[in-house]
Amino acid sequence: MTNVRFVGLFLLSRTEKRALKVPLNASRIVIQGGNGFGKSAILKSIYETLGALPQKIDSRWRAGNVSSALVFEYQGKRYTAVKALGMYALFDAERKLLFSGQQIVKEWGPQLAKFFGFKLIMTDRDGDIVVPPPSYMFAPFYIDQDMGWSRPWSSFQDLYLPDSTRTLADYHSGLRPDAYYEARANLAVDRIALSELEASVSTLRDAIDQIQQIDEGVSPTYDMGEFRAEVEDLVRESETLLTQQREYRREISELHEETHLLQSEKSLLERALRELREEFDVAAALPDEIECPTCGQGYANDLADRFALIQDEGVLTEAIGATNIKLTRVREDEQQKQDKLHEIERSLRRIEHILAVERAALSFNDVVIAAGKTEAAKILRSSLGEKAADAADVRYRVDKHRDTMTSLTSAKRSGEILKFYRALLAKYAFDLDVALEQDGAQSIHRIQAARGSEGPRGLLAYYYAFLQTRVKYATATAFPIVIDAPNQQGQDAVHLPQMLRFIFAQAPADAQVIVAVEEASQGLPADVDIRSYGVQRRQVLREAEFDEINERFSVYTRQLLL
Amino acid sequence: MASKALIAKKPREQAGSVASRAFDFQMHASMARILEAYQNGEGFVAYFDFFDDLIFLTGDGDDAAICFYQMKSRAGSAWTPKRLASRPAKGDLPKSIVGKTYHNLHEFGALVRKAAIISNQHLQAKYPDGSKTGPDDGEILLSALSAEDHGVLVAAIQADFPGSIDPRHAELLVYERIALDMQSFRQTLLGIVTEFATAIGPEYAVSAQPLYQALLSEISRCTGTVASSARNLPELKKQKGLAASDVAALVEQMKRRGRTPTEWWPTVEAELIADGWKTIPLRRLSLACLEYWRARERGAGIALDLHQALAELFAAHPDLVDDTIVGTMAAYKLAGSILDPVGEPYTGQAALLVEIMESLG
Repeated sequence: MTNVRFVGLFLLSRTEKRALKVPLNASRIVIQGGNGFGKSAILKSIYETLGALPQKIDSRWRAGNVSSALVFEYQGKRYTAVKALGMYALFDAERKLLFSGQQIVKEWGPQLAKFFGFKLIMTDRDGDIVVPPPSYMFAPFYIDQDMGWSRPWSSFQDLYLPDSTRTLADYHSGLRPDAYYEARANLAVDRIALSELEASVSTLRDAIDQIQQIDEGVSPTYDMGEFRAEVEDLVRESETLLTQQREYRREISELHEETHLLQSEKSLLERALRELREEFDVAAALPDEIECPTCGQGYANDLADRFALIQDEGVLTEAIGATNIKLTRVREDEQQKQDKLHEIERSLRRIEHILAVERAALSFNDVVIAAGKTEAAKILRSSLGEKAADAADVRYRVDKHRDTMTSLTSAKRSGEILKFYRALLAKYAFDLDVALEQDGAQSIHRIQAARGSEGPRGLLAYYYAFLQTRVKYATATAFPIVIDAPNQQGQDAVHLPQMLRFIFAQAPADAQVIVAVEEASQGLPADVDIRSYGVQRRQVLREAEFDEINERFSVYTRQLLL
Repeated sequence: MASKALIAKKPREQAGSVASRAFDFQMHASMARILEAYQNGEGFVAYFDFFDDLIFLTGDGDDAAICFYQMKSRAGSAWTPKRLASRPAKGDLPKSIVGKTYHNLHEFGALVRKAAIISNQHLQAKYPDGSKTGPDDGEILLSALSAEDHGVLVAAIQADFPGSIDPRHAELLVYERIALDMQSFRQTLLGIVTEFATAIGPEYAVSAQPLYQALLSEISRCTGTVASSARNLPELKKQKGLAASDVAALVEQMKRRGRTPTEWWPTVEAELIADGWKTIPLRRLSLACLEYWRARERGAGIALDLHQALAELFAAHPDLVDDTIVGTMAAYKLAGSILDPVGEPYTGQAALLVEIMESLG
């Protein structure tokens, strides 16, 4: 997984002639400031610069028409994202424009998703496949002070697509990884292509049938060369189908034999199990020493000897279970092959029927009458062959995409991820003094926030359990964790410092963490960089920094205006 | 109509099923105690339904000591001193449960090390400081209860044994709740046996179910046998007893168990697949191996002859074992003339593979 690290944020209001430079070049940052001094404005601007719309933007801030530039490092290179002049743009280290867009969903979002390798695709309300806006990329990494502490997956305002919560959790937890959505996107494209090709094939077949039926009994062939070519095509197709038929019959025969052998194995194991039990029951009713009624020789029949008779019971029972599973798999496989074989046989019957017509005797008159129709059929048949071949290719690709999607969402893998997530959630809930409902069976898609001060702590446990699960199982790019004002619902003097310590101590390794608080409490780790902002209430931007930052922005805005 | 009547009416009596359940619980509780004692390294002979539901005889001669356990399963509420002391109007002495427990002390005197009432329910009583007894208290010395509760019990013993009672009752009479639930004690015991086997080695977990069955069968036999004119302790033990040495023999047998073809087959299959074998020949060989193994285990003559011939072949050529199973099979095939037995569902090759795998351990 690749990490993005923020280096600095620049805010500029040409309306107010004020600006602010916020260095972000540390791994752990606390932005400290009193209520109304602009902490949230800074934090909301970070992901907004990248096109993710935070909840509730202050009207004064909006009136200031603030432009922003976010410098970040990604894959060893430095980039600057700029939001200015109603546009979003990305510049490289040499301040050269890489791409830009005015519309977040249609222009900027897809380009940014491609840049960060964000593969999630979703379906909108009209049923169209779309690349979701950038908020979906950053959703796990930002906790907004206005909504993020009330319910999960609501820190951005533009998470508007249907079933967003489930999709976000599935994607970012790794339950459905990038490769799944890549296959799903390809599947959508290929299904459209297949549908068009199948429609073409069907239309062409109908057209040829109609031409052939114009005058029943007359073959649409007017020269012997064309007649021969048509027959050869059909024979070739028939040969291919016959080869496939032979292959499927061979495979079915093998699967049938395998079923028979597995069934025999199962019966043998069941018989052995029955016999063991019978021998044990007989021995249990006999004394510890038995005399052979024929030869008189004595045999020991103590407890250990009797146990020896049934000690393979467990092994055999397990083996019967394993054989049952194999049997089910082989039978399903055989059924699938049978279905394919039936399909092939239907196609063969169609060709045989056509060939039977072709073999019918032709008179010279028939040939002359059919001449016009034959020419049309010849062209259509040629086109039909190409379309049918293309459709077969696309159908193969569709099957492959489906297989890929199935393999990436196996119950085993999902179970492992959920187990990991639930164990962490339980641990974090304990650490943060939160009582969970349905212990051990929590959904990864949401958490029921408790009432009062326990609610934000429960959400924090959820966010962090989720982020750690993401680190272990997801492959998508990771972004810095930005947390705005964890002091929600009146955390007391014990729980607020506990939350702050937890935020830094339990963050994923290598994750950059930026937190805004009114007052940095005691006991924070030594390496946390604490910074204060805000000239006065409702004024976070500074006049003194305007000229320098305005100059920096000019380089970007000039290119955007061009 | 008949089905409705069967559901609607209440049976006149269900004493049979209640007694059967109690008997079953008694055997399972005894098994739990025996496994615990074995794991603690105690040397003992346990006797079932002999003077009491379960007795443990330890040591011999002057060091001999006996622990008596009276198993009292109970659906519903907890035991109280009053219930343990309750004395029905009719019947022979001793009448109370605690009196019956004391009876062992009365009969065996100095030999007694413990006389315990064991139940699935906890004892609801008070300690001298007013605190209540609880389900997790384990073994409770009855004399450690409050004066009032202990007094109720002692009064019942005195009523059952008119005259003076042995003062050692204060040191020896105990109550113990055993963590077996009436609805699930069989599953719990199976879990205990699985843990017992796993503690010996994780690979033995697969033997847990048969081990449980064997122990249950033996305890059932001992419990159900009426002791008849045993002349000495070894004879009595044969009829009614199970010793720590018997459990040790079971453990040894468990460790000696050879792997069945179903256990080693995955290893062989992987190697054969790598060697180019296809599914059907593999399945045929797998089935043939099982057929040979089962025929030999059942003592079928042809299989035993083949086993003998292969043992001689291995003894004659001990150095043919190769790094690979395929190589070893090929070497022995060349060294001896292994023929397919006529009319049997297995082949010489399958028999050779089974014997090679078993000889490799």
